[in-house]
Amino acid sequence: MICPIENDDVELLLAYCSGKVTDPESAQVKLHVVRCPECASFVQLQRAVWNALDVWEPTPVTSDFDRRLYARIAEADREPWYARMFDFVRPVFDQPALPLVAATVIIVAGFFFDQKQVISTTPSQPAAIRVSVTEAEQVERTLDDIQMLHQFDSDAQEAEKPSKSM
Amino acid sequence: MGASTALDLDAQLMLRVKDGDGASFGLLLEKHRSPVIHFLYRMVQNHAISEELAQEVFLRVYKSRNTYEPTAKFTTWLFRIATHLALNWLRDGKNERKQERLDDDLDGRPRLQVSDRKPSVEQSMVYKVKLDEVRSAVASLPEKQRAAVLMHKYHEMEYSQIAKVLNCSESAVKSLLFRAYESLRSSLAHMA
Repeated sequence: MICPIENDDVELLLAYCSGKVTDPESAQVKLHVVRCPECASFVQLQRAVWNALDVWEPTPVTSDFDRRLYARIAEADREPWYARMFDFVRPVFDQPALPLVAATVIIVAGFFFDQKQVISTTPSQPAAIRVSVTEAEQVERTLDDIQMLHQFDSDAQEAEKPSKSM
Repeated sequence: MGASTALDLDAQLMLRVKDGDGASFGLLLEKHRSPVIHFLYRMVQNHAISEELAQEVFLRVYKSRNTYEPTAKFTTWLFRIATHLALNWLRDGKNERKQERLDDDLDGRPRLQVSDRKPSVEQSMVYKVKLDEVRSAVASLPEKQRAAVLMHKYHEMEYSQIAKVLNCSESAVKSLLFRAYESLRSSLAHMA
């Protein structure tokens, strides 16, 4: 038999100490333990643990356990329908990971909400560009108009000069 | 035949409870009351709390009767509820309860029956010291390791069943048990 400790099969020794191996397996381990000091030490300590745990006997159940339980059951049967409905969803709330999931959902929802706001504000940027483009066109047109008026003014002045000289 | 005969007796009883048979619930309670309370007692190390949690376990079983489906062994389901409640209780306030737990109900426990005669004062004292050491050693284990050891040692559950109760893989259970027994061998070595 290959040494269970060397073979990384301590599980076999644990099963042997707790009497959960078949008779042929038990005989093989027993034979090996006699020759292997490491396994012998393991078995000795594990058996000590096993025997020590046997010392711990549980306390007897109190006599009114059933009466108290049936009283609670009767009380539960009298609960309104909405309270009973909660019993169906209670396991979900009992999950230890639920607060983490809830926090993640809130953060993700907050992120998306924030993104949505950013998206909703982004059209204002092209609008701003458009406004500035429009303003530039208007200024250009105004300058053209001024230039044109200036041209008219100079033409008018030119036209007035001969009449004054006469 | 197939599916219905494959069901364990407890699952069949639970299906009867689902059909409104209160007596079947009584049978289930009678059969599993002590194992559940004893498991919870060793988990939380407080007799009153263990009974309170056990009441909650059976109340949840009763309330779940209408939605019960025998997808796993009844005891697996039962111990899953019990373990879940015990772990929640331990996580909710273990620091405040740590001291109380170890000092709890030492007078209420059954005495060691060495023989038919009443144990001597010396025997009682030796027993008390041993018991305190065992309780402390078990209490010092991380919660999941503790649950795995208790199910393995006192309830003789297979790795596969412990894995289902703890909602982990069989290899994870083997690892939990290996580490737990390693700690116990180290803390209880002097009792060899």
